[in-house]
Amino acid sequence: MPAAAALLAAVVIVLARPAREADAATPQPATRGVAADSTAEDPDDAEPVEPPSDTEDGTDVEIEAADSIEAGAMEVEVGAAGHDGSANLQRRRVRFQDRDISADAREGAGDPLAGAVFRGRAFTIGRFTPRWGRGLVAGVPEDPWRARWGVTSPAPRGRSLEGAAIRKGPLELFAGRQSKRGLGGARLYRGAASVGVFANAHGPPLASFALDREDQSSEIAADPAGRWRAETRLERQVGEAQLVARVRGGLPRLGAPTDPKRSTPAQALTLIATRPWSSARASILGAWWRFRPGRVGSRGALAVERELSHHQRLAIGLEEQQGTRREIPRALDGIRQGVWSEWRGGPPGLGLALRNEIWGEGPWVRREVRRSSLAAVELAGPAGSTVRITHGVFRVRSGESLYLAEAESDRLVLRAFTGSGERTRLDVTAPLAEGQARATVGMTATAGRPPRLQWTVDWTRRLSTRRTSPRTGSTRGGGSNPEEDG
Amino acid sequence: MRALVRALALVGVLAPSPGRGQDFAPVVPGALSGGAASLLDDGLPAASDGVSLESGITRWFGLDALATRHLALGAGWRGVRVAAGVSQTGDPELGWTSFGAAAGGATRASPGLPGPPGAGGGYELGAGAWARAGERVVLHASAPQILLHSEAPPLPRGFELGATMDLDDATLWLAVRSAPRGQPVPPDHELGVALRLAGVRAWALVRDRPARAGIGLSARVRAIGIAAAVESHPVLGETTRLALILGQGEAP
Repeated sequence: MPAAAALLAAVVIVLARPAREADAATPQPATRGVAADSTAEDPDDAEPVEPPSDTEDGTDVEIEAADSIEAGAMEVEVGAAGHDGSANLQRRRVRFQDRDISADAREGAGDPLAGAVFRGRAFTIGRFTPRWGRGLVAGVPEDPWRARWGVTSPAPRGRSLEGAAIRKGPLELFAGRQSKRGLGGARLYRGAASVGVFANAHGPPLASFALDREDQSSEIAADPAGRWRAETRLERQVGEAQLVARVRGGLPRLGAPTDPKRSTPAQALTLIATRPWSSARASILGAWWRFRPGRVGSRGALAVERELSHHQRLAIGLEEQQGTRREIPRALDGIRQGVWSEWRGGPPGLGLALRNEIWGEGPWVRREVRRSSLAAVELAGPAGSTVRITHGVFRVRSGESLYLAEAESDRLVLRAFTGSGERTRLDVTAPLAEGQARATVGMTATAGRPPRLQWTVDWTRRLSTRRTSPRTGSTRGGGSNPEEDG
Repeated sequence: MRALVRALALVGVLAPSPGRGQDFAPVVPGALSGGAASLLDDGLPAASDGVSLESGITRWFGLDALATRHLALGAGWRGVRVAAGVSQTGDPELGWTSFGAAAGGATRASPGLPGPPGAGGGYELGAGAWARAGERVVLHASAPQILLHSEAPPLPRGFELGATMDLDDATLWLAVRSAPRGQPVPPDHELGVALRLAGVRAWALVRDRPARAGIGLSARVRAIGIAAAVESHPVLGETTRLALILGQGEAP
C-alpha cells in the first residue's frame, strides 16, 4: 500500500504543471567544484544535521562553504587551526573570480579541503567533481533520504578527482585520477539532452543518457553487461504547494564493484511537498530506498516553520527513519523517531536561538538514543564585529553519533558527538587590517574525560581586480594591480 | 580553603527562570521575578530598571546544618544590569562561602574567600539569556556552569531551556533541565503555575526525576516584599525558603 500511494503521488506530480522557478539544485551540464554547491548543512537551518552517507561513524566532516565572491574580486585568507595536543595547522586560501575565469586554491598540512581548481569558460583544471545528469555515472547521486529543499548532497572530497575537463561546442571531455584510479569521460550534448561514455581503469565503461531541464532531470546509465540504473527528478507546482519527486530504479550493481561505504541505493523513491500558509510553511518528505534485497530503508518527515513578529522564527519537526543508509550493516540501523524544535529571535543587535532535539528508537520517541539542547547568543558590535556564544548539551548513546554544524570562515564543520557532555563555542569576528578577522574557540566536555579544546584563527581580505574610474565610477577589468574592494 | 566564585555572563533583557542552584537560589521562582538572585543564579537579568536587595535563607531537606543564607544586591539602569552577592552554606567551619557577581553584557569574576582548611578554591562561570517570543511568551536559556575550575561545585547544575507564558493574573512556566556535565541521565522537567490573588501571589510547581512538588507565597507592600516557599522531596525531605526583598522586585 505505501508503494501504491507513493506511485499515485508521483503520478500527481507528473501531471501537475511545472514549477515556476528552477530549483537551485538543478544539475548543470558543466563540471563543478567538489563542494561548491554543498549547502546541505547550514548552521542557521532548523532541520537536523545529516552528514554525508559515507561518513565514518563518530568522525567530523568538513564541507566547503557555499559562499561565492562577485566577479572581479579576489579573496586572500590565511589562518590556522588546532586543538589541544596537536600542532597548529596552517591554512591558506586564495580565490579569484572574473567574468570568464575563476580560481580557488587551498593549502595547508592536514587540511581535508586542500586543493586547487582553475576554471575557465571552456575548461576546468585541478580538483573537481564532474557531474552528469543525476550523478549516476559521473558525480554523486542525491541521497534519497535527504530532505533539504533544492540542495544536493555534499560531495565528499574522496569523490573528487584531480584532472582536467574541457568543453568545446557540444563536446565535453574530462580525465583525471580519483582515489589513485584513472578515469575519464566524454559526452555530447544538444540542448537539454546529453549522451556520454565514462571509462574507469578498474571497471567496465558506462554509458549515460541524460536530460536536464528546469523542472525535470533524468539519466539512464548502463554498462556492457546490460546492467542499468535510471533516475528522474520532477518538480511541479500544485496550487500553492511545490512538489518534488525523485525516482530511481535499476540493478543493485552498475559497472565495477563499489565501496560498500559509498554505495548508493539501486532503487529509491522520494517525495517532497512544501506548502506555504500565510506566515508558515510546511514541508513533508517521504522516502524509501533499497540497496539490494534485505537492505532497505525509509524516512518520513514533517517540518513546520513559522515566521513570527519582529523577525522571529519558530520551527518544529518530527520524523521517523527505518532501515539502513549503507549497503553494509551497521549498529545504527533500525527505527529512529525524532522530534526537534528551534526558535530564533531577539531584538536588533542581539540574536538568540534555542533548540531542542530528541531521538528515540521506540514508539513516541521512547528509549532515547540521542538528545541535544542548545542555545546561541549573537551580539552585533561596532564596525561589523560580532560575538557569538553557543552552548549546548548532548546525551548520545554508545554507538550513535550526534552531529552539530559549526560554521568557520571558509567551511562548515559537521562535528560528531557521542556520550554525555557539553559543547561551548565562542566565535568572534572583527575588522582588522582592512580585512576581517575571525577567531573561534570550542570546548567539549564529556563524562570521564578532560575538556577538549579546538580553535581557529583566520584573516580574510577581499580585493577588487577592477579599476574604478575616478570620474565616471565605471569599472574595467584586468587591472594588473589589484585595488581594495571599496 | 574552599571558595566558590560564580560569575555569570548575561545577555538580553528579561526574565525568568525556574532554575535552582544552591548558593543564590531565588525564593521566588525566576519565572515570576528576575531579581538579583536570579541574575546570580541563572544569569537571567530583570526586565526593568531599579535597585533591589534580597536576603534569604534556605533550609535544605530539613537539615539545619545545611542551611544557606544569601545576600544579593542588584541594580539596573538603562538596560544594564549588575548584581553581586555572598552566601554562606552550613557552619563557617564546615560549610563554604560563595561570592557571586554578574553583569548584563559583561562577565567578571571575584577572588575566592578563605574557607575550611584543606579545601581548595574554585570558580564557575555561566551565562543566561532570555527573549520575548510574543506578547505573552518568554523563552530563556541558562547555563550556570559552562566553565568549572578546580573544586567541583556543591551542586552540579545542567543546562536549562524554558518558556514562560503570562496570562494576566496567571503565569505558566515549563523548563527542561539537562543533567549536569558528566551525568548520563535524562533531563528533568519543571512545570509551574502562579496566580495573583489580591496583593498576594501564590505558586505551585511540580518536577520529575523524582516526582516532587512545591508551593510558595509572596506579598509586597510598597518597596518591601516577603516570600516563602516549601518544596518536598520523596527521599530527602522538605526544603523551606524565606526571603526578604527590598526595592525592585516581583509585584504581586
